[in-house]
Amino acid sequence: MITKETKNTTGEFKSLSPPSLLTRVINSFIKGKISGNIAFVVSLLVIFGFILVAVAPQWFTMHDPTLNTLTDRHQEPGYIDKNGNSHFMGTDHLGRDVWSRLLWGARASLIVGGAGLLIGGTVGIFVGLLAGYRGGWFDRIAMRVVDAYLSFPYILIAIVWAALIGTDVANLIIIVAVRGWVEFARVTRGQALAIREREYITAIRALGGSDIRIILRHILPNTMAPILVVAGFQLGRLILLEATLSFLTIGIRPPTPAWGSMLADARPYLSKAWWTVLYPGLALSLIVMAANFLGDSLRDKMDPALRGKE
Amino acid sequence: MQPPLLQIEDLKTYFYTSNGVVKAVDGISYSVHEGETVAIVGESGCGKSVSALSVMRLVPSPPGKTVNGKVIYQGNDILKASDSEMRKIRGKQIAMVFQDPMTSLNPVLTIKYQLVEPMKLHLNLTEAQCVDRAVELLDLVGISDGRKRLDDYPHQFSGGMRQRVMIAMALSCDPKLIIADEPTTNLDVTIQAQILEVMEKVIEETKTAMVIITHNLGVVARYADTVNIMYAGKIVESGTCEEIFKNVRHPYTEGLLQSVPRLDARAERLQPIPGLPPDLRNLPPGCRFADRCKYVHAKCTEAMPELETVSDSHVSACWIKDTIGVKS
Repeated sequence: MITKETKNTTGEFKSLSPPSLLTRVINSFIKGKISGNIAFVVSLLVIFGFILVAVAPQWFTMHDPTLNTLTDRHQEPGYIDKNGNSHFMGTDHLGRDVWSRLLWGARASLIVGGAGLLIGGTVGIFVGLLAGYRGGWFDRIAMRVVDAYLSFPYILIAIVWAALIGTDVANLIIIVAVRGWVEFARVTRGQALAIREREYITAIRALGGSDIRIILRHILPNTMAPILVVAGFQLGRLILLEATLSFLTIGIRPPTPAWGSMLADARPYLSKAWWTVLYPGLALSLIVMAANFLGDSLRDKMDPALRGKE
Repeated sequence: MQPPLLQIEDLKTYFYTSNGVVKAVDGISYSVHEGETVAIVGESGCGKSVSALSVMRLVPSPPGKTVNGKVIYQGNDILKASDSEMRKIRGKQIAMVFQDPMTSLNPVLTIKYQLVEPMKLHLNLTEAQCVDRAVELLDLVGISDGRKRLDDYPHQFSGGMRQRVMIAMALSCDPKLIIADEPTTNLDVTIQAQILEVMEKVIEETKTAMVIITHNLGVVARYADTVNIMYAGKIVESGTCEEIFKNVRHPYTEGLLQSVPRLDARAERLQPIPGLPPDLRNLPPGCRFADRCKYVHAKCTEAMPELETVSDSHVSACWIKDTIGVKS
C-alpha cells in the first residue's frame, strides 16, 4: 500500500521530464557527451516544471506547509498520519510535511531569483549598453565597479545589507538584483562596444537616428543572444544566492518555507532524519543544474563558432 | 549661376592617434550644385571616405576631429550646427549610401523596419503611408515584389538587392544630396552596372545631387559631371568630367588613367603607378606625389603646388601642369 502510493506520486513528478529523454541524458552524461538539444529541452522542461509548481503549489499537495503537528515529528517518507494523509517525503522536526514545504519553497526561490534576475538583468543591460556605446568616464567607472564586485565575496555585503535593511521579500529581491546586474553589464558592454563599430550603426546615424534610438532599437536586439546565455547562468546563481541567505537565516523568514532555511533547520538532525536534508538539497541542485545546462545549451546554439560541434 | 547646394571650404580632418597625427583630409574644397553629380576619385586611404563622413559629421571622435574648414549647406555652416539640427539634416537633407551592403543593414531587423525608420524620423506619415512609400521606393530601385519582401531579413537578400535597399533607404525622405561612398565596390561587375543604372535613374527622376566616391574611373566617366581627384588628403586636380579625361593636367591623374584597361586601344601592358602613397602622419614638405612622379624635378620636393587654373572649369596642383598630359 505504502510503496504503491510512493510509486504513483513519484511517477507524477517524473512525468515533467519524459523517462526516455531522461535516460538519454543520463546515458550521454555518462559518456561525457551531451547533445545540445536534449540538454536544452530537458532543462527548459525542468525550469518550467518548477515555475508551474511555484505558481500553483496547491495543485500538487493538500498539506499546509506551515502546519505544525508536533506529535508527527520526523516521520519517515511514506508516513500516513492519523487523518489518513500521506507524507511521501516524511515530516520535519516540527511535524510539517516536507513535500508541501518543498513545493511552496520553490515559490520563494523562483520569486526572489526570477525577480532579482529581471531587475538585475535590466539594470545590467542598460549600464552595459551605455558604458559600451558612450565609453568615457561612465564606462571607466562602471567597469571598475564591476571589477570590484567580482573580486569581493558578495555574501559579506549581502549579510551586512540584510542586517541593515531587513529581509522581507522585496529587500531580498533587491539584494539579489544588486549581485545579478554585474555579469549582464560586463557582457552587454562588450557586445555594445563591438556592435557600435558596425557599418549599419553608422548607416542609421547617417539617416538621422538619435543615440537613444541607436542603443535601444539597433544595438540592444543584437546583444540578445549572449544576454540570454548569461541569463541562464545567472538564474542558477541567484537562486543559489537566495538559498545561501535563507540558510544563514537572513533570507526568507520562517514560517514561509524556503529551501535554504529548510536545509538550515534540518542540519542538526542530519543523522536522524536524512529526508529533511536530502529533498530540499536535491530540489536546489536540480534547478541550478537545469539553469546552468540551459545557459550552456543556449551558448552552444547561439555561438556560431560552436555550432555544429559536439 | 545660383549658389551651390553644398560648398566645402578648406576642410581638414585629422586623426589623433598615439603614433602621431594622421592628416586624412588636409584642406579640400569643392562644391556641389543642385542636381549635379560630383565624383571624388583616389586610391585607398587617400581620405575620400573621411571627407564624406566629415560632411555628415560622422567621423568617429575620438580619435578623429575636423579641425578646420566650412561645410556650407544651403547657406549654413553645418559644422557649427547642433546635434539635433544635424540629425534633421542627416537622412532628410543629405543621405548616404555605404560601401558594403553586406554589413550596412542591421541583421536582426526586417527590411520593412529599416526602410520605414528614416521616414518615421523625418516625415509626418502614418504607418500605412510609410509602408506604401517603402513599396514604391523598392519598386523605384528595381525590387518589384516589394510588398512581399518587406518582412524579410537582410540575410534573405543578395548583395545587389541589399544595396538597392540601402539606396531606397537613402532616398526615403527625398534628400537633396546623396553621398555614395564606393557604392559598388563590393559587388560583382554585372551587379555593379545594375546598381549604377538604378542610381542614375533615381537621381534623374528625383533631381537629387550626388557625390559619388569611387576609385573606378569607368563609373566616373559615365556618371559624373564634375571630378575631383584626391591624393594623400588633398585634391590634386579638379574639373568637369570632359576636361579631366581629355585634358589631363596632373601626373597622378595621368597615372590613374594609364592603369585602367581600355577596350578601344591596342592591348598593351598596363602601367601601374610605382610606389606607395606617403605616410599621412609624416608628410613631405613638397608635392605629396613627388616620390612616385615620373616628371619629378627639384622644385617638387621643395614646395607644395597649389591648385591653379588650367581653364574655366579645370584646376590642377602641379608645377608643370602646363606641359604634361598634352600627348593624349
